[in-house]
Amino acid sequence: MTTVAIVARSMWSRAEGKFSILVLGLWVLVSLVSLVWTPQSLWATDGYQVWKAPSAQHWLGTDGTGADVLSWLMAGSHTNLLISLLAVLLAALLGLLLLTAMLASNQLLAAGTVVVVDALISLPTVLLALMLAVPLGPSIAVIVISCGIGYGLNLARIVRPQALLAAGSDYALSAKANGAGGWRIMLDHILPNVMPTMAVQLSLSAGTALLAESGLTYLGIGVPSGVPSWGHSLATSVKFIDVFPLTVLWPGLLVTMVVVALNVCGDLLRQAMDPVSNPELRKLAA
Amino acid sequence: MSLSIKNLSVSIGGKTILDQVSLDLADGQRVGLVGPSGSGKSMITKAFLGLLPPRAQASGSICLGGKEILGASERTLADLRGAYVGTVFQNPAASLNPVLTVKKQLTLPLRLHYDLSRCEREERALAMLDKLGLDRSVANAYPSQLSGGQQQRVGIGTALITSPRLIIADEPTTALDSISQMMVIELLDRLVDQSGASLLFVTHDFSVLRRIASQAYVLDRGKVVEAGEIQRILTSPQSLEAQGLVAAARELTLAVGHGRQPLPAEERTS
Repeated sequence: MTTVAIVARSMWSRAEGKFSILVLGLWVLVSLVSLVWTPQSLWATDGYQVWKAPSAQHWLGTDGTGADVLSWLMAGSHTNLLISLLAVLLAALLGLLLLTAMLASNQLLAAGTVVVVDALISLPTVLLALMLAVPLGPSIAVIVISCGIGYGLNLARIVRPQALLAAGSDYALSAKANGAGGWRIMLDHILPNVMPTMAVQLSLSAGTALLAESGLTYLGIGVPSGVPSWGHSLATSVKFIDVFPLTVLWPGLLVTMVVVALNVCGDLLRQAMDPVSNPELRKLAA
Repeated sequence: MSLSIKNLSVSIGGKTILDQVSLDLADGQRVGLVGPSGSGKSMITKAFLGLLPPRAQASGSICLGGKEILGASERTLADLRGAYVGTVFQNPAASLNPVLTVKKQLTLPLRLHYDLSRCEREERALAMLDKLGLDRSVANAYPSQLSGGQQQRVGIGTALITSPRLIIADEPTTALDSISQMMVIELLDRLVDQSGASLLFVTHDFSVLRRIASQAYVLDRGKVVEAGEIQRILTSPQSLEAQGLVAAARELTLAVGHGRQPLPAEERTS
Protein backbone atom coordinates (compact mmCIF):
# COMPACT_ATOMS: atom_id res chain seq x y z
CA MET A 1 0.00 0.00 0.00
CA THR A 2 1.38 3.39 -0.92
CA THR A 3 2.01 6.22 1.51
CA VAL A 4 -0.81 8.30 -0.03
CA ALA A 5 -3.29 5.44 0.45
CA ILE A 6 -2.21 5.01 4.07
CA VAL A 7 -2.58 8.74 4.77
CA ALA A 8 -6.06 8.73 3.18
CA ARG A 9 -7.08 5.61 5.09
CA SER A 10 -5.82 7.06 8.38
CA MET A 11 -7.91 10.17 7.83
CA TRP A 12 -10.99 8.19 6.77
CA SER A 13 -10.77 6.01 9.88
CA ARG A 14 -11.90 8.91 12.07
CA ALA A 15 -15.39 10.44 12.14
CA GLU A 16 -14.13 14.00 11.68
CA GLY A 17 -11.93 12.74 8.85
CA LYS A 18 -14.96 11.28 7.06
CA PHE A 19 -16.80 14.60 7.52
CA SER A 20 -13.84 16.54 6.19
CA ILE A 21 -13.22 14.29 3.17
CA LEU A 22 -16.94 14.16 2.28
CA VAL A 23 -17.47 17.93 2.53
CA LEU A 24 -14.30 18.78 0.59
CA GLY A 25 -14.96 16.05 -1.96
CA LEU A 26 -18.48 17.35 -2.48
CA TRP A 27 -17.14 20.89 -2.84
CA VAL A 28 -14.77 19.83 -5.63
CA LEU A 29 -17.47 17.69 -7.31
CA VAL A 30 -20.09 20.47 -7.23
CA SER A 31 -17.50 22.96 -8.52
CA LEU A 32 -16.80 20.76 -11.51
CA VAL A 33 -20.49 20.02 -12.18
CA SER A 34 -21.38 23.72 -11.93
CA LEU A 35 -19.01 24.49 -14.78
CA VAL A 36 -21.36 22.67 -17.16
CA TRP A 37 -24.70 22.47 -15.34
CA THR A 38 -26.76 24.30 -12.72
CA PRO A 39 -30.46 23.57 -11.90
CA GLN A 40 -31.50 26.99 -13.25
CA SER A 41 -29.78 29.54 -15.41
CA LEU A 42 -27.93 32.11 -13.29
CA TRP A 43 -29.51 34.89 -15.29
CA ALA A 44 -33.10 33.53 -15.18
CA THR A 45 -34.60 36.19 -12.93
CA ASP A 46 -38.26 36.69 -12.13
CA GLY A 47 -39.50 39.92 -10.54
CA TYR A 48 -42.58 38.13 -9.21
CA GLN A 49 -40.59 35.38 -7.49
CA VAL A 50 -38.15 37.37 -5.28
CA TRP A 51 -37.06 36.22 -1.80
CA LYS A 52 -39.11 33.03 -2.14
CA ALA A 53 -38.86 30.24 0.42
CA PRO A 54 -37.54 26.81 -0.70
CA SER A 55 -39.88 25.00 -3.10
CA ALA A 56 -39.80 22.12 -5.58
CA GLN A 57 -38.70 24.49 -8.35
CA HIS A 58 -36.14 26.42 -6.23
CA TRP A 59 -34.76 24.02 -3.62
CA LEU A 60 -33.10 26.77 -1.60
CA GLY A 61 -35.47 29.56 -2.59
CA THR A 62 -34.76 32.68 -4.64
CA ASP A 63 -32.79 35.86 -4.03
CA GLY A 64 -33.77 39.54 -4.42
CA THR A 65 -33.73 39.29 -8.23
CA GLY A 66 -35.75 36.06 -8.28
CA ALA A 67 -32.70 34.02 -9.30
CA ASP A 68 -32.25 30.47 -8.00
CA VAL A 69 -30.11 30.52 -4.80
CA LEU A 70 -28.94 26.90 -5.27
CA SER A 71 -27.69 27.62 -8.79
CA TRP A 72 -25.76 30.69 -7.61
CA LEU A 73 -24.25 28.80 -4.69
CA MET A 74 -23.26 25.92 -7.00
CA ALA A 75 -21.68 28.33 -9.46
CA GLY A 76 -20.05 30.20 -6.60
CA SER A 77 -18.38 27.02 -5.38
CA HIS A 78 -15.94 26.95 -8.29
CA THR A 79 -15.07 30.63 -7.83
CA ASN A 80 -14.35 29.98 -4.17
CA LEU A 81 -12.39 26.83 -4.96
CA LEU A 82 -10.29 28.77 -7.46
CA ILE A 83 -9.68 31.58 -4.95
CA SER A 84 -8.69 29.17 -2.17
CA LEU A 85 -6.40 27.13 -4.42
CA LEU A 86 -4.65 30.15 -5.93
CA ALA A 87 -4.28 31.90 -2.55
CA VAL A 88 -2.82 28.73 -0.98
CA LEU A 89 -0.52 28.16 -3.95
CA LEU A 90 0.77 31.73 -3.80
CA ALA A 91 1.16 31.50 0.00
CA ALA A 92 3.09 28.22 -0.32
CA LEU A 93 5.42 29.60 -3.00
CA LEU A 94 6.05 32.86 -1.16
CA GLY A 95 6.38 31.07 2.19
CA LEU A 96 8.95 28.61 0.83
CA LEU A 97 10.87 31.37 -0.91
CA LEU A 98 11.05 33.40 2.30
CA LEU A 99 11.90 30.30 4.32
CA THR A 100 14.79 29.50 1.98
CA ALA A 101 16.07 33.08 2.33
CA MET A 102 15.72 32.87 6.12
CA LEU A 103 17.88 29.72 6.14
CA ALA A 104 20.49 31.09 3.74
CA SER A 105 24.13 30.72 4.71
CA ASN A 106 24.49 34.43 3.93
CA GLN A 107 23.74 35.86 7.38
CA LEU A 108 22.83 39.28 6.01
CA LEU A 109 20.19 37.81 3.70
CA ALA A 110 18.82 35.54 6.44
CA ALA A 111 18.62 38.24 9.11
CA GLY A 112 17.31 40.82 6.62
CA THR A 113 14.51 38.49 5.51
CA VAL A 114 13.47 37.87 9.12
CA VAL A 115 13.25 41.62 9.75
CA VAL A 116 11.29 42.23 6.53
CA VAL A 117 8.86 39.39 7.28
CA ASP A 118 8.36 40.61 10.86
CA ALA A 119 7.65 44.10 9.59
CA LEU A 120 5.26 43.05 6.81
CA ILE A 121 3.41 40.52 8.94
CA SER A 122 1.94 43.41 10.94
CA LEU A 123 0.18 44.65 7.79
CA PRO A 124 -3.47 43.51 7.89
CA THR A 125 -4.68 41.52 4.87
CA VAL A 126 -7.71 43.81 4.51
CA LEU A 127 -5.47 46.89 4.31
CA LEU A 128 -3.35 45.17 1.68
CA ALA A 129 -6.51 44.30 -0.26
CA LEU A 130 -7.74 47.90 -0.05
CA MET A 131 -4.41 49.14 -1.43
CA LEU A 132 -4.48 46.57 -4.23
CA ALA A 133 -8.10 47.44 -5.08
CA VAL A 134 -7.01 50.94 -6.10
CA PRO A 135 -5.08 49.88 -9.21
CA LEU A 136 -6.84 46.54 -9.80
CA GLY A 137 -10.45 47.39 -8.92
CA PRO A 138 -12.77 44.78 -7.35
CA SER A 139 -11.45 41.44 -8.63
CA ILE A 140 -10.50 37.89 -7.72
CA ALA A 141 -6.85 38.96 -8.11
CA VAL A 142 -7.21 41.37 -5.16
CA ILE A 143 -8.34 38.52 -2.89
CA VAL A 144 -5.75 36.04 -4.18
CA ILE A 145 -2.78 38.42 -4.00
CA SER A 146 -3.64 39.94 -0.62
CA CYS A 147 -4.37 36.55 0.95
CA GLY A 148 -1.39 34.89 -0.76
CA ILE A 149 1.03 37.54 0.55
CA GLY A 150 -0.49 37.64 4.05
CA TYR A 151 -0.62 33.87 4.46
CA GLY A 152 2.81 33.39 2.83
CA LEU A 153 4.39 35.70 5.42
CA ASN A 154 2.61 33.84 8.22
CA LEU A 155 3.66 30.48 6.82
CA ALA A 156 7.33 31.44 6.67
CA ARG A 157 7.28 32.80 10.22
CA ILE A 158 5.48 29.77 11.68
CA VAL A 159 7.57 27.13 9.90
CA ARG A 160 10.95 28.88 10.45
CA PRO A 161 11.75 27.51 13.95
CA GLN A 162 11.09 23.92 12.85
CA ALA A 163 13.08 24.45 9.66
CA LEU A 164 15.97 25.91 11.67
CA LEU A 165 15.97 22.83 13.90
CA ALA A 166 16.09 20.55 10.85
CA ALA A 167 18.81 22.68 9.20
CA GLY A 168 20.99 22.47 12.31
CA SER A 169 20.36 18.78 12.89
CA ASP A 170 22.86 15.96 12.67
CA TYR A 171 21.04 14.47 9.69
CA ALA A 172 21.46 17.74 7.76
CA LEU A 173 25.16 17.68 8.67
CA SER A 174 25.30 14.02 7.63
CA ALA A 175 23.69 14.93 4.28
CA LYS A 176 26.26 17.70 3.81
CA ALA A 177 29.04 15.24 4.62
CA ASN A 178 27.60 13.05 1.85
CA GLY A 179 27.96 15.89 -0.64
CA ALA A 180 24.49 17.46 -0.51
CA GLY A 181 24.34 21.19 -1.23
CA GLY A 182 22.02 23.73 0.38
CA TRP A 183 19.16 23.13 -2.08
CA ARG A 184 19.28 19.36 -1.75
CA ILE A 185 19.29 19.61 2.04
CA MET A 186 16.31 21.96 1.80
CA LEU A 187 14.39 19.61 -0.53
CA ASP A 188 15.38 16.24 0.92
CA HIS A 189 15.67 16.95 4.63
CA ILE A 190 14.11 20.23 5.72
CA LEU A 191 10.92 20.17 3.64
CA PRO A 192 9.83 16.63 4.63
CA ASN A 193 10.22 17.68 8.26
CA VAL A 194 8.18 20.88 7.98
CA MET A 195 5.56 19.44 5.60
CA PRO A 196 3.06 18.38 8.31
CA THR A 197 3.14 21.88 9.84
CA MET A 198 2.82 23.41 6.40
CA ALA A 199 -0.19 21.19 5.63
CA VAL A 200 -1.99 22.47 8.73
CA GLN A 201 -1.12 26.09 8.07
CA LEU A 202 -2.08 25.95 4.39
CA SER A 203 -5.39 24.24 5.06
CA LEU A 204 -6.17 26.92 7.66
CA SER A 205 -5.18 29.49 5.05
CA ALA A 206 -7.57 27.94 2.50
CA GLY A 207 -10.39 28.31 5.03
CA THR A 208 -9.38 31.86 5.91
CA ALA A 209 -9.25 32.73 2.21
CA LEU A 210 -12.93 31.71 1.97
CA LEU A 211 -13.79 33.98 4.88
CA ALA A 212 -11.69 36.77 3.35
CA GLU A 213 -13.52 36.37 0.05
CA SER A 214 -16.84 36.85 1.84
CA GLY A 215 -15.56 39.84 3.80
CA LEU A 216 -13.82 41.59 0.90
CA THR A 217 -16.76 40.99 -1.45
CA TYR A 218 -19.07 42.47 1.19
CA LEU A 219 -16.77 45.53 1.31
CA GLY A 220 -17.05 45.78 -2.47
CA ILE A 221 -13.39 45.10 -3.28
CA GLY A 222 -13.60 41.32 -3.74
CA VAL A 223 -15.40 39.32 -6.41
CA PRO A 224 -16.92 41.80 -8.88
CA SER A 225 -20.65 42.12 -9.34
CA GLY A 226 -22.11 39.47 -11.63
CA VAL A 227 -19.52 36.82 -10.80
CA PRO A 228 -21.06 34.08 -8.64
CA SER A 229 -19.37 33.43 -5.30
CA TRP A 230 -20.49 32.54 -1.78
CA GLY A 231 -19.33 35.96 -0.59
CA HIS A 232 -21.42 37.55 -3.32
CA SER A 233 -24.51 35.56 -2.21
CA LEU A 234 -23.89 36.63 1.39
CA ALA A 235 -23.23 40.27 0.51
CA THR A 236 -26.46 40.62 -1.50
CA SER A 237 -28.66 39.00 1.14
CA VAL A 238 -27.14 39.99 4.47
CA LYS A 239 -28.95 43.36 4.51
CA PHE A 240 -32.25 41.48 4.62
CA ILE A 241 -31.29 38.99 7.32
CA ASP A 242 -34.13 40.14 9.58
CA VAL A 243 -36.74 39.65 6.85
CA PHE A 244 -35.41 36.72 4.78
CA PRO A 245 -32.98 34.87 7.08
CA LEU A 246 -32.92 31.70 4.96
CA THR A 247 -31.15 33.39 2.05
CA VAL A 248 -28.29 34.29 4.42
CA LEU A 249 -28.37 30.93 6.12
CA TRP A 250 -27.44 28.88 3.01
CA PRO A 251 -24.23 30.65 1.98
CA GLY A 252 -23.30 31.18 5.66
CA LEU A 253 -23.78 27.49 6.40
CA LEU A 254 -21.80 26.52 3.32
CA VAL A 255 -18.84 28.75 4.17
CA THR A 256 -18.86 27.57 7.80
CA MET A 257 -18.98 23.87 6.87
CA VAL A 258 -16.20 24.13 4.31
CA VAL A 259 -13.98 26.20 6.63
CA VAL A 260 -14.49 23.68 9.46
CA ALA A 261 -13.78 20.80 7.04
CA LEU A 262 -10.56 22.49 5.87
CA ASN A 263 -9.39 23.11 9.43
CA VAL A 264 -10.13 19.52 10.47
CA CYS A 265 -8.48 18.24 7.29
CA GLY A 266 -5.27 20.13 8.05
CA ASP A 267 -5.06 18.82 11.57
CA LEU A 268 -5.71 15.23 10.52
CA LEU A 269 -3.34 15.54 7.58
CA ARG A 270 -0.54 16.60 9.95
CA GLN A 271 -1.09 13.52 12.09
CA ALA A 272 -1.53 11.19 9.12
CA MET A 273 1.56 12.42 7.23
CA ASP A 274 3.94 12.27 10.17
CA PRO A 275 5.49 8.79 10.56
CA VAL A 276 6.31 9.62 14.18
CA SER A 277 2.62 10.10 15.09
CA ASN A 278 1.02 7.72 12.55
CA PRO A 279 1.67 4.05 13.42
CA GLU A 280 0.06 2.98 10.12
CA LEU A 281 2.91 4.60 8.17
CA ARG A 282 5.46 2.82 10.34
CA LYS A 283 3.73 -0.50 9.70
CA LEU A 284 4.89 -0.30 6.07
CA ALA A 285 7.98 -2.17 7.16
CA ALA A 286 5.99 -5.09 8.56
CA MET B 1 42.77 7.40 -0.78
CA SER B 2 45.63 9.02 1.09
CA LEU B 3 45.25 11.86 3.55
CA SER B 4 48.03 14.10 4.72
CA ILE B 5 47.49 16.81 7.29
CA LYS B 6 50.40 19.15 7.99
CA ASN B 7 50.49 21.69 10.83
CA LEU B 8 46.74 22.12 10.92
CA SER B 9 45.63 24.80 13.37
CA VAL B 10 42.03 25.77 13.95
CA SER B 11 40.76 28.53 16.20
CA ILE B 12 37.25 29.72 16.89
CA GLY B 13 36.71 33.18 18.34
CA GLY B 14 40.37 33.44 19.32
CA LYS B 15 40.34 30.10 21.15
CA THR B 16 42.73 27.48 19.77
CA ILE B 17 40.95 24.19 19.06
CA LEU B 18 43.69 22.44 17.05
CA ASP B 19 47.36 23.32 17.37
CA GLN B 20 49.81 22.30 14.63
CA VAL B 21 48.28 18.86 14.10
CA SER B 22 50.02 16.61 11.56
CA LEU B 23 48.62 13.25 10.53
CA ASP B 24 49.27 10.82 7.66
CA LEU B 25 46.99 8.13 6.33
CA ALA B 26 48.23 6.08 3.38
CA ASP B 27 46.03 4.56 0.71
CA GLY B 28 44.22 1.53 2.20
CA GLN B 29 45.61 2.16 5.69
CA ARG B 30 43.58 2.13 8.89
CA VAL B 31 44.44 4.75 11.42
CA GLY B 32 42.85 5.62 14.73
CA LEU B 33 42.48 9.06 16.22
CA VAL B 34 42.09 8.69 19.94
CA GLY B 35 41.66 11.25 22.68
CA PRO B 36 39.39 12.36 25.49
CA SER B 37 36.23 14.38 24.94
CA GLY B 38 36.99 17.92 23.82
CA SER B 39 40.47 17.05 22.53
CA GLY B 40 39.60 18.19 19.00
CA LYS B 41 39.13 14.79 17.30
CA SER B 42 35.88 15.66 15.56
CA MET B 43 37.23 19.08 14.60
CA ILE B 44 39.91 17.39 12.52
CA THR B 45 37.33 15.41 10.57
CA LYS B 46 35.21 18.54 10.14
CA ALA B 47 38.27 20.43 8.87
CA PHE B 48 38.98 18.09 6.01
CA LEU B 49 35.31 17.68 5.18
CA GLY B 50 35.09 21.47 4.95
CA LEU B 51 32.42 21.49 7.64
CA LEU B 52 34.08 23.83 10.12
CA PRO B 53 31.82 26.43 11.74
CA PRO B 54 31.68 29.71 9.76
CA ARG B 55 33.64 31.61 12.47
CA ALA B 56 36.48 29.07 12.50
CA GLN B 57 39.89 30.07 11.19
CA ALA B 58 42.10 27.30 9.84
CA SER B 59 45.72 27.28 8.69
CA GLY B 60 48.15 24.58 7.57
CA SER B 61 47.63 22.02 4.86
CA ILE B 62 45.19 19.17 4.21
CA CYS B 63 45.99 17.03 1.17
CA LEU B 64 43.39 14.49 0.13
CA GLY B 65 44.59 12.16 -2.61
CA GLY B 66 47.41 14.60 -3.30
CA LYS B 67 45.05 17.56 -3.69
CA GLU B 68 45.08 20.52 -1.31
CA ILE B 69 41.59 20.98 0.07
CA LEU B 70 42.01 23.49 2.88
CA GLY B 71 40.36 26.62 1.56
CA ALA B 72 38.97 24.81 -1.50
CA SER B 73 35.67 25.99 -2.94
CA GLU B 74 32.39 24.62 -1.62
CA ARG B 75 31.80 23.01 -5.03
CA THR B 76 35.10 21.10 -4.86
CA LEU B 77 34.43 19.97 -1.30
CA ALA B 78 30.85 18.90 -2.10
CA ASP B 79 32.19 16.74 -4.94
CA LEU B 80 34.67 15.08 -2.57
CA ARG B 81 32.18 14.49 0.22
CA GLY B 82 30.20 11.33 -0.19
CA ALA B 83 31.80 10.33 -3.49
CA TYR B 84 35.39 10.00 -2.21
CA VAL B 85 34.96 10.42 1.54
CA GLY B 86 32.21 8.60 3.44
CA THR B 87 31.40 9.57 7.02
CA VAL B 88 29.83 7.47 9.76
CA PHE B 89 28.53 9.64 12.57
CA GLN B 90 28.50 9.16 16.31
CA ASN B 91 24.80 9.21 17.10
CA PRO B 92 22.85 7.12 14.58
CA ALA B 93 19.48 8.16 16.02
CA ALA B 94 20.26 11.80 15.30
CA SER B 95 22.17 11.40 12.04
CA LEU B 96 19.27 9.65 10.29
CA ASN B 97 16.33 11.78 9.19
CA PRO B 98 13.34 10.65 11.32
CA VAL B 99 10.75 11.23 8.57
CA LEU B 100 12.54 9.39 5.74
CA THR B 101 12.53 5.64 5.22
CA VAL B 102 15.77 3.64 5.31
CA LYS B 103 15.60 3.09 1.54
CA LYS B 104 15.24 6.82 0.91
CA GLN B 105 18.20 7.61 3.16
CA LEU B 106 20.37 4.98 1.46
CA THR B 107 19.52 6.18 -2.05
CA LEU B 108 20.07 9.91 -1.43
CA PRO B 109 23.91 9.78 -1.66
CA LEU B 110 23.61 7.75 -4.87
CA ARG B 111 21.36 10.39 -6.40
CA LEU B 112 23.94 13.04 -5.56
CA HIS B 113 26.93 11.33 -7.11
CA TYR B 114 25.76 8.81 -9.71
CA ASP B 115 23.57 9.02 -12.77
CA LEU B 116 21.38 6.03 -11.96
CA SER B 117 17.71 5.33 -12.55
CA ARG B 118 15.42 5.09 -9.53
CA CYS B 119 15.21 1.30 -9.94
CA GLU B 120 19.00 0.99 -10.03
CA ARG B 121 19.34 3.14 -6.91
CA GLU B 122 16.76 1.07 -5.07
CA GLU B 123 18.43 -2.15 -6.16
CA ARG B 124 21.77 -0.90 -4.80
CA ALA B 125 20.08 0.13 -1.54
CA LEU B 126 18.64 -3.37 -1.15
CA ALA B 127 22.03 -4.93 -1.97
CA MET B 128 23.58 -2.68 0.69
CA LEU B 129 21.01 -3.92 3.22
CA ASP B 130 22.17 -7.46 2.43
CA LYS B 131 25.78 -6.43 3.03
CA LEU B 132 24.78 -4.77 6.29
CA GLY B 133 23.10 -7.99 7.43
CA LEU B 134 19.71 -6.32 7.61
CA ASP B 135 16.50 -7.82 6.30
CA ARG B 136 15.26 -6.22 3.06
CA SER B 137 11.95 -5.35 4.76
CA VAL B 138 13.90 -2.77 6.77
CA ALA B 139 14.03 -0.71 3.55
CA ASN B 140 10.58 0.72 4.23
CA ALA B 141 11.12 1.27 7.95
CA TYR B 142 11.68 4.61 9.61
CA PRO B 143 14.70 5.11 11.93
CA SER B 144 12.48 5.12 15.03
CA GLN B 145 11.50 1.51 14.26
CA LEU B 146 15.11 0.29 14.39
CA SER B 147 17.37 -0.52 17.33
CA GLY B 148 20.49 1.57 17.94
CA GLY B 149 22.69 -1.09 16.35
CA GLN B 150 20.44 -1.32 13.28
CA GLN B 151 20.38 2.46 12.97
CA GLN B 152 24.17 2.59 13.01
CA ARG B 153 24.33 -0.14 10.36
CA VAL B 154 22.11 2.03 8.17
CA GLY B 155 24.42 4.96 8.97
CA ILE B 156 27.37 2.86 7.78
CA GLY B 157 25.36 1.93 4.70
CA THR B 158 24.72 5.57 3.75
CA ALA B 159 28.44 6.32 4.16
CA LEU B 160 29.59 3.32 2.12
CA ILE B 161 26.94 3.03 -0.59
CA THR B 162 28.86 5.35 -2.93
CA SER B 163 32.03 3.22 -2.51
CA PRO B 164 34.17 6.05 -1.08
CA ARG B 165 37.97 5.66 -1.02
CA LEU B 166 38.28 7.11 2.48
CA ILE B 167 35.93 6.28 5.34
CA ILE B 168 35.77 8.42 8.44
CA ALA B 169 34.13 6.78 11.42
CA ASP B 170 33.53 9.51 13.99
CA GLU B 171 32.98 7.64 17.27
CA PRO B 172 30.50 5.25 15.59
CA THR B 173 30.16 3.01 18.65
CA THR B 174 29.94 5.59 21.43
CA ALA B 175 26.13 5.69 21.53
CA LEU B 176 25.75 1.89 21.41
CA ASP B 177 25.59 -0.92 23.94
CA SER B 178 28.53 -3.33 24.05
CA ILE B 179 26.91 -6.04 21.90
CA SER B 180 25.93 -3.51 19.24
CA GLN B 181 29.43 -2.03 19.46
CA MET B 182 30.92 -5.43 18.67
CA MET B 183 28.56 -5.98 15.74
CA VAL B 184 29.17 -2.53 14.29
CA ILE B 185 32.95 -2.89 14.59
CA GLU B 186 32.87 -6.31 12.91
CA LEU B 187 30.64 -4.96 10.14
CA LEU B 188 32.80 -1.90 9.55
CA ASP B 189 35.91 -4.10 9.61
CA ARG B 190 34.46 -6.45 6.99
CA LEU B 191 33.09 -3.74 4.70
CA VAL B 192 36.30 -1.69 4.80
CA ASP B 193 38.24 -4.88 4.01
CA GLN B 194 35.97 -5.60 1.05
CA SER B 195 36.15 -2.09 -0.33
CA GLY B 196 39.89 -1.63 0.21
CA ALA B 197 39.25 1.94 1.35
CA SER B 198 41.33 3.87 3.89
CA LEU B 199 39.83 4.27 7.33
CA LEU B 200 40.17 7.02 9.89
CA PHE B 201 38.57 5.77 13.08
CA VAL B 202 37.89 8.44 15.69
CA THR B 203 37.28 7.25 19.23
CA HIS B 204 38.11 7.86 22.87
CA ASP B 205 38.28 4.14 23.58
CA PHE B 206 41.46 2.11 22.94
CA SER B 207 39.62 -1.16 23.47
CA VAL B 208 37.40 -0.39 20.47
CA LEU B 209 40.21 1.05 18.39
CA ARG B 210 42.56 -1.94 18.68
CA ARG B 211 39.92 -4.13 17.07
CA ILE B 212 39.86 -2.18 13.83
CA ALA B 213 43.11 -0.23 13.39
CA SER B 214 46.81 -0.80 13.84
CA GLN B 215 48.14 2.77 13.98
CA ALA B 216 46.92 5.56 16.18
CA TYR B 217 47.39 9.23 16.89
CA VAL B 218 46.72 10.32 20.46
CA LEU B 219 45.22 13.77 20.71
CA ASP B 220 44.93 15.96 23.77
CA ARG B 221 43.79 19.58 24.01
CA GLY B 222 44.17 20.05 20.27
CA LYS B 223 47.69 18.60 19.98
CA VAL B 224 49.01 15.24 18.81
CA VAL B 225 50.83 13.99 21.91
CA GLU B 226 51.78 10.54 20.65
CA ALA B 227 51.62 8.48 17.49
CA GLY B 228 52.54 4.96 16.46
CA GLU B 229 51.51 1.31 16.60
CA ILE B 230 48.50 0.77 18.84
CA GLN B 231 50.09 -2.29 20.40
CA ARG B 232 53.15 -0.25 21.33
CA ILE B 233 51.06 2.59 22.76
CA LEU B 234 49.05 0.09 24.78
CA THR B 235 52.12 -1.63 26.22
CA SER B 236 54.35 1.40 26.75
CA PRO B 237 52.61 4.72 26.35
CA GLN B 238 55.10 7.57 26.35
CA SER B 239 52.96 10.63 27.07
CA LEU B 240 51.04 11.23 30.25
CA GLU B 241 47.82 11.69 28.26
CA ALA B 242 48.23 8.35 26.46
CA GLN B 243 49.06 6.66 29.77
CA GLY B 244 45.80 7.99 31.20
CA LEU B 245 43.74 6.76 28.24
CA VAL B 246 45.40 3.34 28.26
CA ALA B 247 44.92 2.98 32.00
CA ALA B 248 41.25 3.90 31.67
CA ALA B 249 40.75 1.44 28.80
CA ARG B 250 42.46 -1.36 30.75
CA GLU B 251 40.43 -0.62 33.83
CA LEU B 252 37.14 -0.65 31.95
CA THR B 253 37.42 -3.37 29.35
CA LEU B 254 40.82 -4.68 28.38
CA ALA B 255 41.44 -6.13 31.83
CA VAL B 256 38.50 -8.50 31.50
CA GLY B 257 40.07 -11.91 31.32
CA HIS B 258 37.26 -13.98 29.90
CA GLY B 259 34.81 -13.77 27.04
CA ARG B 260 35.92 -12.89 23.54
CA GLN B 261 39.52 -11.73 23.37
CA PRO B 262 40.45 -8.64 21.42
CA LEU B 263 41.85 -9.28 17.97
CA PRO B 264 45.65 -8.93 17.95
CA ALA B 265 46.58 -5.73 16.19
CA GLU B 266 49.49 -7.50 14.47
CA GLU B 267 47.06 -9.56 12.42
CA ARG B 268 45.68 -6.47 10.77
CA THR B 269 47.01 -5.20 7.53
CA SER B 270 47.75 -1.53 7.58
